[in-house]
Amino acid sequence: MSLSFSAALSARSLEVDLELAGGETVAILGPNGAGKSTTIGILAGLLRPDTGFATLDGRSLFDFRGGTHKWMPPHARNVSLLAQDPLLFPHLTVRENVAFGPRSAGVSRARAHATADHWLDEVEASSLAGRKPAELSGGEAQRVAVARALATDPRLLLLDEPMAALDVTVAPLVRRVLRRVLHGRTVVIVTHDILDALVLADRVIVLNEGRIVDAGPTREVLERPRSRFAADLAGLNLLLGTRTATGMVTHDGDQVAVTDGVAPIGARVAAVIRPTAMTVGGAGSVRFEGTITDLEPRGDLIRIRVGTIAADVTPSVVADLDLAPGHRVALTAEPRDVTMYSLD
Amino acid sequence: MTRLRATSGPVPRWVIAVAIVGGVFVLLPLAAMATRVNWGQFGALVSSPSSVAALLLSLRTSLAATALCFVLGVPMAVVVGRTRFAGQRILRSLVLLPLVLPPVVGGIALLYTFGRQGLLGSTLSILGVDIAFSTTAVVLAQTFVALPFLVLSLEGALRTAGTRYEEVAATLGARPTTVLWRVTLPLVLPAVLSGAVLSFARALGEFGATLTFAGSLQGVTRTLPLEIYLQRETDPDAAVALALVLVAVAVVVIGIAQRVADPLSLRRQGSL
Amino acid sequence: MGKLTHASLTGTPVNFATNRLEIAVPKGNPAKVRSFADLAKPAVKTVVCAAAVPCGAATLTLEQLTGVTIRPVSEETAVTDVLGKVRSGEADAGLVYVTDIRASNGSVDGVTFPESTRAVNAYPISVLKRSDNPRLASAFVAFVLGSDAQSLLSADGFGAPH
Repeated sequence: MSLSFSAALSARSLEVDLELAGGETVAILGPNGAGKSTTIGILAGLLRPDTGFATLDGRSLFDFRGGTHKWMPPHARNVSLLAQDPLLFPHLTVRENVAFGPRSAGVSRARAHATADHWLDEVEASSLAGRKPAELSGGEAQRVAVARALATDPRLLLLDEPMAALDVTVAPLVRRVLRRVLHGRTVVIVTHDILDALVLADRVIVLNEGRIVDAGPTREVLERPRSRFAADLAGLNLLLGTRTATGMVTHDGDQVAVTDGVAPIGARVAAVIRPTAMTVGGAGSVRFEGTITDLEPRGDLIRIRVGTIAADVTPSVVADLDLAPGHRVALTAEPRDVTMYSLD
Repeated sequence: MTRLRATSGPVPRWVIAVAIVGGVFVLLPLAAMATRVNWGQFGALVSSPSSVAALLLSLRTSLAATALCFVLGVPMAVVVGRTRFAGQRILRSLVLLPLVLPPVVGGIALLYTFGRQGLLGSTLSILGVDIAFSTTAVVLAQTFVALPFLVLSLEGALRTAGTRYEEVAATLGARPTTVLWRVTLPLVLPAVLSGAVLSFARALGEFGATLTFAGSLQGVTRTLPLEIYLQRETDPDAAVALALVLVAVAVVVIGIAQRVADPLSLRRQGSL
Repeated sequence: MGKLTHASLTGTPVNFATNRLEIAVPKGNPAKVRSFADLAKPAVKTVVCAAAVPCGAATLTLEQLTGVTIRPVSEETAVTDVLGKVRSGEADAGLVYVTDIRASNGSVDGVTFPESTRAVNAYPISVLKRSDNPRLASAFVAFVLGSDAQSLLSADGFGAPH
């Protein structure tokens, strides 16, 4: 195991356990304030938890268990951090920025610059080497920041929403560069973008209110979300409830018929339905009745929300049925469109 | 929105009027002094041996005091601006005390510290260091009054700059000392420079503490302000001429301070 | 006064008091200063008045008359600054007027020396010709020269007019 991490910080109501294999990339997803950046900060050594421990490749990063109080300062951890802002040192050239880590480790100027040039090449930024950060675009600066973070050959690389501040037009290039350079590295990436998780991560962890609410291989978490947040990311309606003979009963009391069953009766189960599989007032036996809370455009469809259930329908349906917030409707689906799985 | 418009709108005329009165209040006395300069004799007055000795001594001691302010002031600003500990606010106020103390009080305090009969005086004289009536005493007096300028300027810049760059530097493996030299200080360089220039200016104008603590001897302790004060007794023309020289030096120094503080300001980082 | 008489603004001035220099030393006289010549010793830190001020001018005169060359550690602009340096013990000796030592309330000790009589400062008094109230002014001059005032001046250490 490359990284073992367990930490609690009561001031931020955080309590997270994390295990990473060497060479594995894990994405931490979650809503704002879930504790994603706090987790990163503790790993980097910028924040101290109340209790917990972390070991990286057999070295203790910190150990606050029992009476011990071991703490390795950030500069000794060999853990690089790439934040939302590139934070390139404004007084140094691009090459000097990338050479900063090796230079701090005592490498000669010539060798540090050679390392810098190698990494600038890796991020497709060789031509920028002589520039000052003020002369770079956002995407260029972030690629240079990636090179700088990797030039120290970190045992663990932390990425805190690395694409969040970028223009949508340059994010794909940075994402492509990251996908290439992160290969085979031990990485924790905090993101709110499902695409980052899909493209870059082997596994995802979903944090909510300081706790892990969902975890697993990226594809599995997205296909079978256990948390509302993960379901929203995947664009799925999530139903949480208990297995019955015919399907499940949700916590709200809705009976949902399901064609294929996996769990024993009485087990905790979840089910997902794609919004495009839902119709308004259709014949399907899976029915959710309620008041329309919201209508919003979604591509060439209109998303209708009734409580936590969403249905994507064509504009003509909305026009024909004269749908508007406040109207009572029934959103329906066929049992075969419901995917149910056990939570136990 | 209305509030925004009000602050970015034109300045009220009466404010401009009062500001002009304030500007005149500052500049008129200087102009009045300039009218009393005996221009025919100006060259001779400011180039007399005692005048030249005083000017050179002032420049020398002020430079030394500025260097000392840098050596002591940078660590002080970093400690005050970058750490948190009990009693920090009190310490911060105490560090700035020389700013509000009458310089004479500073001179008396230095006398009781470094003087022959002072707290450290006997220890220093055992070590063979005799500070009283020496140029060193002048430098100490100037440093005492000038130090807060550098500390204040730098501490403010450190607070504005924040710690994000330093955190990134640490995660790149830079030890705290490396971070200080290669990241923190370069980032606040404009403030370091303008603080140093202000300290230099304050040291140049130092009078009270020097007179009280160091004495007055040509070429050793009699700096330009002390020379002006002495010349006033016998040769008012020389005093006025020298005063004008001091004003000119001060104007140049302030000009430099504004130049280094402005174009290199932290604006760039804000846009990142 | 010289400037005033030169400009014919006064009548003939009359001296009403004299003053001479005395050596001020810190309490207990740590440097054991006994004479004017002692002030020239390198080990004795002596503070004098700057030549531009009267007590400094008198010091310079004495040095020239006696051939004693003092190398002061400081030439102060005012008598009070000389006394301050002596009082605090920074200086071993200072040259000031007899009256200054008398007025220091015992915070410094005085060392008299015979050469001081060779550089005596005299204080003249005279009625201004353009006085608004010449009678009152004359009365004041008479008072200052009279026995009451003279005994007060003498008590403060001033010498008799010559």
